[in-house]
Amino acid sequence: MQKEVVDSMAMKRALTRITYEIIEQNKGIRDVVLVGIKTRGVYVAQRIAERLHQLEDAVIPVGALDITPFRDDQPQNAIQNPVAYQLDFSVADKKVVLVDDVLYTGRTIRAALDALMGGGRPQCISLAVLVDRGHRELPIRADFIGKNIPTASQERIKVSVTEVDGHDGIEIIS
Amino acid sequence: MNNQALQKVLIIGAGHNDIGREGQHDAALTQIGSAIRKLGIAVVLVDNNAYSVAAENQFADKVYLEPLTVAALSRIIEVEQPDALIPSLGGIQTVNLIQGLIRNNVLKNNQVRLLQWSQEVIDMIVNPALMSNRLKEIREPVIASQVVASSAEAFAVIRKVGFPVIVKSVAPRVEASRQLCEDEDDLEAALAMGFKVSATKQCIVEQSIVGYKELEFVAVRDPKDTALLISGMENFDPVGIHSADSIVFAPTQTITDQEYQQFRTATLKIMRKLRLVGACHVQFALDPATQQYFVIKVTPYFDRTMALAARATGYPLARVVANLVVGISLAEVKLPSNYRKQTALIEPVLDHIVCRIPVWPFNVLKRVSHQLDTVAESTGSVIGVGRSTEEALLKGLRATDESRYHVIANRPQNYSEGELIQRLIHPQAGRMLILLEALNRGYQIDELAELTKIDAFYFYKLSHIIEIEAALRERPFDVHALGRAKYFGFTDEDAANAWHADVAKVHQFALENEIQVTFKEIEPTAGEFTEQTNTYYSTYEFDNESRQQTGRRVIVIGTGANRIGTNHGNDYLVSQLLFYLKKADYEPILINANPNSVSMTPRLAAKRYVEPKQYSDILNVLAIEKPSLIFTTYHDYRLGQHLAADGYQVIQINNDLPRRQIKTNDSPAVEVITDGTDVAIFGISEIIAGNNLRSNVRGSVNVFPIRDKVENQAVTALQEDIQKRVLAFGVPGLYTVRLTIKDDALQLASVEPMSIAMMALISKASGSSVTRLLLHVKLGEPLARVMYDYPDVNRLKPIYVQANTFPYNQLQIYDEEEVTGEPGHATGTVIAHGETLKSALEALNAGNEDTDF
Amino acid sequence: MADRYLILEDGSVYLGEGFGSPAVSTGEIVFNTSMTGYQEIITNQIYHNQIIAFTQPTIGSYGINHDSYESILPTVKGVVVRDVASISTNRQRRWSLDQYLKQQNIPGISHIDTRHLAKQLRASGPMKASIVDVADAHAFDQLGATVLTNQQVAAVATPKPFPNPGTGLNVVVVDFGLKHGILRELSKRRCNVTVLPYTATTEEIINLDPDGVVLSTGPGKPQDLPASVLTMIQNIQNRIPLFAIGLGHELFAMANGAQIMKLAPEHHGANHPIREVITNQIIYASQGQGFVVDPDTVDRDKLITTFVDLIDGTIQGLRFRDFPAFSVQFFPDGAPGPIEARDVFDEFVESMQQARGPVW
Repeated sequence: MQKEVVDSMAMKRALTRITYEIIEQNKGIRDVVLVGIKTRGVYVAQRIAERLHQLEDAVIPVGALDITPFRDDQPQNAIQNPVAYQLDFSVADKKVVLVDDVLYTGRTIRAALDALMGGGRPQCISLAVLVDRGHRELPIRADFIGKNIPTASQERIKVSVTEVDGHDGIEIIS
Repeated sequence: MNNQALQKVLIIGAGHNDIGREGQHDAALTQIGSAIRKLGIAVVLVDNNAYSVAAENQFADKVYLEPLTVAALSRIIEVEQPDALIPSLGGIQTVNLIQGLIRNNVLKNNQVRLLQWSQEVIDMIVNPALMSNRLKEIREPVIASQVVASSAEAFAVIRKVGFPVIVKSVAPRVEASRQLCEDEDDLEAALAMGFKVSATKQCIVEQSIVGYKELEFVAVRDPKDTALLISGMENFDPVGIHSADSIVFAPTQTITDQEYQQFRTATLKIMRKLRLVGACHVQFALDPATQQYFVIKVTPYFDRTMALAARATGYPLARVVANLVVGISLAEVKLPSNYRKQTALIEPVLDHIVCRIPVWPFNVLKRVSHQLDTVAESTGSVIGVGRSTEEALLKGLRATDESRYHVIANRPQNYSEGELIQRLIHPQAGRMLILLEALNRGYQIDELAELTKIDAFYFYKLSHIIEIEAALRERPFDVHALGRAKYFGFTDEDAANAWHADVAKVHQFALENEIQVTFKEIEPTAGEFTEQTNTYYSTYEFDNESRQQTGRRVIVIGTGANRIGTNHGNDYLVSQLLFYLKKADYEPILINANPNSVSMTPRLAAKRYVEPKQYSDILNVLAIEKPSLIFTTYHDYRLGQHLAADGYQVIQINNDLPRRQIKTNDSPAVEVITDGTDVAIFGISEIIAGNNLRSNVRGSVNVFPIRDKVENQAVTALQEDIQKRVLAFGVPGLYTVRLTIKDDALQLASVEPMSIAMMALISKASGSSVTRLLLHVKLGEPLARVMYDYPDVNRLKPIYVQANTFPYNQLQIYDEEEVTGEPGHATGTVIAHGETLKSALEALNAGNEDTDF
Repeated sequence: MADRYLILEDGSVYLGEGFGSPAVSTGEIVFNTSMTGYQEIITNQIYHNQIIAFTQPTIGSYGINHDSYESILPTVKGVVVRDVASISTNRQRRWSLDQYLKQQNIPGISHIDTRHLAKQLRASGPMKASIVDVADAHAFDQLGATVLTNQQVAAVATPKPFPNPGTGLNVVVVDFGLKHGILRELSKRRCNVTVLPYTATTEEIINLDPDGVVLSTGPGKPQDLPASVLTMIQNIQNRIPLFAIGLGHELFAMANGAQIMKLAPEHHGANHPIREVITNQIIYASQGQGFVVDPDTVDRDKLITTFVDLIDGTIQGLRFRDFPAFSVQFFPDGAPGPIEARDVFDEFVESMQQARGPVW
């Protein structure tokens, strides 16, 4: 069963609010770079970047991270792959905002942090997610949250973005 | 959307005019075609409407007068290789054709993009059940409707939706009506009947919303998802009477802001969820008691209501839509300098009221039921524009040019009490007099509102009209009474009638007492900004905004409502006149009240007056414009005479002489033009029997040109005779010289003014506008200067054929005596061509297999 | 009905017919282009002491509804229309506009060439006007001599706190003459609302421990309010999520150093396209403003412009850079007018939720 819990309007608002909060917390957008986690995190990051561009007339770098090779819960990754740096810009001295669609166990984020480390020492790293569904398995929390959606662990959260799915919205699948 | 890639677009026209197709498509086409061309995109147009204005005068880069069939369109697409197709300009018929093109992979194979809508939308328009499901998905309320195969199933539906319901038979083998059921007995009876006639033994049970208020909202949306409301409109008549047969007011008159916003929101939401680009018309039913509403219909293609919204608001709808269609956003739309820069983005607001009144063919087709129901029967409509509901209504009624609608409210009607009540409950065409009569007989307003389901507000307005008229009657030549009456929409004629006085005397009295007409602009911002639409309406207020047009002013009196009969092509003539007057450096000023008219498109006339054409209405305009010339056409002959007698220079284009009914018997005729001194021959035409086309054809077929040697030789021999006979008329113009065969030789039979149908036929066959030639000889120019580019038709290859179309099926007329196929019953005209007469006739019939010829 | 006159400060005289109260009254005249919602407009306290001319020609066609009030007691000085619908008490037993204005002692005048009037006011800006029985020199003297109060907020805002209970977030609304739409929208979002007078101090607000504070709409010129209001805003905005509307928006801008200027021509209607800067989306919303934030005085390091009117480029929304405090000039609650900006209230509610942190 699918149930839409966030419609396109609410999703739009959540992105807008996250954008404003990024400005609030970073006291502006100087040195801010966005790094999206593939696949949907990248689109979320791009939307935030577009918003920052509209507001501040500045181009914010957006990077994309593919962390599937680094996840510690993937059996084939039991032998750790060598961590290669994937971004085409340096994160040294930047305020990195890591962006994903759903925050769940925290393992994806941990892997993403690993993947970032090859790019120099950032000023700071913060985390923006569209949905926080709870059930953390690592001591990780998001700094910017679109929507807190309490879920049972057998439920699934599906974030749809127009770029991939043809429409915007968040659904619970049980 | 990337509009860089767009270099050529295909537009499919609406085909011949018909009930429900009154020219609004052609009006949209002329504007959208030229606007898209201005953006540097080539336009290919396909249509087979003989009276299409868009198909002449370079409104498109290339015009195909071809059958509107999937086969013909496929060939054109293969030849032209357009980048994209605009689906919204030809009504439902075009949508059906596009579905055919998609199913045959024609669009895919030729890489033609469908603009404005997804393919899914095409399917939803063609199949209302799909639309209904989609609306449910996006949580818009639709009428509950279910197919049932047994009484038990039907009663299960009743338990959900309650009475009343409508029962319809599925796939009925005979013409079956919709049955309104109020209780169990009604339902049992309706089901029994419904199952019996159904081929599938099924019925549809549908929640009845008869008696709800009907609202119509029109909005636009761009590819960037910006959307705005153009106009909210309200039907005077409740649900149950087709909106085409209903009086409609813009803006809404009786709904609250909450209700209005509910509809605005729903309209924009539907456009967004369905991702419709362009304009969309959504019809709603509102339960006045509960604010609960239903979406009745979603129409994303041009229709009469969009035309009304554009005319009512002055918003440049067609022009804006042309931009949206090719991927430009509302914020980027560039409008001509007479509009404020952001006008495309300003949600229109009105400071006037527009009332649309339908016109029915019942004065001609007498044997058809005059009952108004869910089937559209009107052939056209007019609008009245005023600053009060009363004024808009009275002006609208007057603009129908039908004296029986004239509101001389206190004139008693001869109905028994029973008849009156019957007519209140079961409305017929021209019900306004019934409503007024009921008020006159002392029926209470709430009682009438209950009986008719018409909002009480309107009865207060009608009572007010009665009050004003009574005051007028009681006080002959009283300044205050006349001022009050005119302020609310009455005319000098009405006062003259009430006072049993001469109109001229009343007119003089009004002028002496400074009861003077003022004109106000129809523009979309209610005076908040300066917008110059150069479109005006009259009212009696303080400030007059219409200044005399500069330059060589010519008044052209428009056709008014689209009607059944020989002048159904008159709007084509008027539009062409305007076009060529402008080309000839005149400033044509149009007086017309038809919202669907092509002649109302902003580019044609230099200025427009949306006015009825009663004598005093015309005088009001003349007083300001003081034109050097006035053009009248067809049935405005008497008005023209009246104006000429007043000393105005009037050119009457009068083909209204009694025409013989020529149906069968191949009968050749010579088509000519004269400047009064010389005569030139266009060519030879022929009327052939309609059954050359297919069986069961009522009307006849016009053929042009005939290149038969015998006939041409005979005409050459008769040339002198023809010249003499035509010149005997002494009036420059277009004539048809009929020939007859006597003793095996062709001889002259009669000379008559050329019909508009023939003008259209020759224009399209020769590629040279006959209207232009007519205009110039009427303006006194010699033939030698006028005819310079008329081609030698004998060298033209194809033969053109043209047939009238009739509304018999639509109006469910089966009476043999009524179904005569006489030109007086025509609502449209189809044109086609071919190398041979046979192939031309085949082309004429193609796609028109179900058309009444 | 009796002949009456609408006279304007510049000497113009319009002859019309009286309806509503027969009182003689004077106020500043403005025109409103809304297509619907006369009742909401007449009862909106932003029009305190003003005479409203409607460009929509027929006014009063559906009477007065119990759910369309934007304040309990309207305080407009007059209603000017082309045509007033003479419905008597109809089936739904609503009051007619005529009856309602009589009850509220507000004069109306009909049969006015409101299109001409609107064009005149578009050129001149608002001016003093009176609805009178005789348009003589005396009437003009009276009109000229009338000094309109600049203490509008004090006249219409609540003098005492009152609750509008709910079960959700705790919201304080500071009342400058609020329109009911604000409370309606907060109620829909289940907020537990306390309405405080505009004189409320920082402490009085903080003591209620609100999740968020709303600065309401209201009449008049923001500079006419005491400076203490600005101090309150400065103290609140970096502690509690703040949402300001209309007059509240103007005060929020002033509290952050911007200046407010007279807007010419004024905005009274619901037809302007407004661009939301962050998404580049265009929305429509009700507006009723005679003042505007001077864009040259906005400290860009402190405030972000969030909404812009596309007709004249005026600022329609601001946001504090460092804290969740934001404002809109237009009326996001509609009533009357488009309701597509209503989600600004959701934005406010979500800001409050975010500030509180997750619920688990």
